[in-house]
Amino acid sequence: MGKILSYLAVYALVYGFYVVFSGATSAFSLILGAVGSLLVSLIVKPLIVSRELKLADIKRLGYLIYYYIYYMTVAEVRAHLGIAKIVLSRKLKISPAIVKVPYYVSSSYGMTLIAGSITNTPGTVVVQVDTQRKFLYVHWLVATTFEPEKARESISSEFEKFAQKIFG
Amino acid sequence: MRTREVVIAVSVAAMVVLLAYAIEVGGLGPIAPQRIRDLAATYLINTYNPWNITLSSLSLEAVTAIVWDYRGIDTFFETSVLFVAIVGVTSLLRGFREKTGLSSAGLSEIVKTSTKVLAPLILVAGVAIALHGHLTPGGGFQGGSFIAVLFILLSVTFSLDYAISYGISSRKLLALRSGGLIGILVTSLALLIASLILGVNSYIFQNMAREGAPLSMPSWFLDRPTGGTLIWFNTFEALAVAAGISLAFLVLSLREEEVEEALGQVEWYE
Repeated sequence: MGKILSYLAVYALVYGFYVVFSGATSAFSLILGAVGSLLVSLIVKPLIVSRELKLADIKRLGYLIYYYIYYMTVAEVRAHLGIAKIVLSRKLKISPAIVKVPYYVSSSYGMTLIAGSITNTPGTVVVQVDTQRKFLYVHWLVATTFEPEKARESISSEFEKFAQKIFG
Repeated sequence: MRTREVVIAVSVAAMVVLLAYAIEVGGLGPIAPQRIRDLAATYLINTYNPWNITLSSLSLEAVTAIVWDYRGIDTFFETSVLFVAIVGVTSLLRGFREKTGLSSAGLSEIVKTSTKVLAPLILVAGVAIALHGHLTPGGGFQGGSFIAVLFILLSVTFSLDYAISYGISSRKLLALRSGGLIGILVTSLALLIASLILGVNSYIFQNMAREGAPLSMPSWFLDRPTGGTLIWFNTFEALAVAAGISLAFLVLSLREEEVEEALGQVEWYE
């Protein structure tokens, strides 16, 4: 059951992307794409699925969509406004530093989501990850603290809350 | 300081406005020529011409029609050249043996996971480009290159070790590459074989019916044209190119331990 569900999920991702990418709704494209996507799913499923999915995992998808909207509207806009203020002001008020930020999610997908979210918001860039001790090294344009826990509080705690819910 | 900034801002704005004006009135000459040459016009008119099938290849994409139909044999030899180059690369280090357990550090966990997410998307994008080669820009070579990029990405981010233990081997890639080439060969001879059975005339690389050669490849699939042979050429070319470029990359990025035997042999010959 879990195995079939995993294949179905990969297939949905692949075929969904195929339809968007080719932008075609003709029967020709849809049917050939369905066959092609099936082959692709069979090849890549062992690569991208690390544990078999359960039916209850569907609510993680809901969190993912919610997080995407939240991230694109709230988090990104907030970070961009902060950087725009720095860029447009006549006096440069920055304190760049690389800080150590711990993370507590267990899956590599969760960690990647946090790292990607940090990097994609302007002002912070993940430069290195230590998966053994679970630290991200983040270049922070306006570093206010070097304390790992406090840095986590202001950089990634919001992202991590969702990463935990989405990927665990 | 203030005046300098104002002067810079005004002059940049003036440049943009003046450039836009110059382009608008055609001061820089026509961007694209209005008239096309007769030869180009002939191809554009006949690429998809269901009213006169003997001149047409029933493809909506002129480039693919020219590449695989009007000058199909040329493209066949281009593909052969690529194949010979890959044969050369593999024979240069003949006797190599892929091994696992050498070095498998790869790049950081973040890059690995991102690549994992991208992998199926790259793969299916390549498939889409290859299958739509006769309808939209792109085709077998482009789609196959997409897929080869995935292999290169995997072996760089995860290490060659991972790619090999995932089941990719030079033997399999060579088999896929040869399969693609055999597919191209069969497609180019398909109508010839059919005409031998039916007892009519036909050409090598024939796509649609020509003067005195009445057979045509099936030209429609459901609601879109397939361009006859074009969709088959594109599919097999994608397979051949994906496997071929991956194979070349695999051989070129072999580790020292894997080519020891091959290089040792060379020394022994000397």
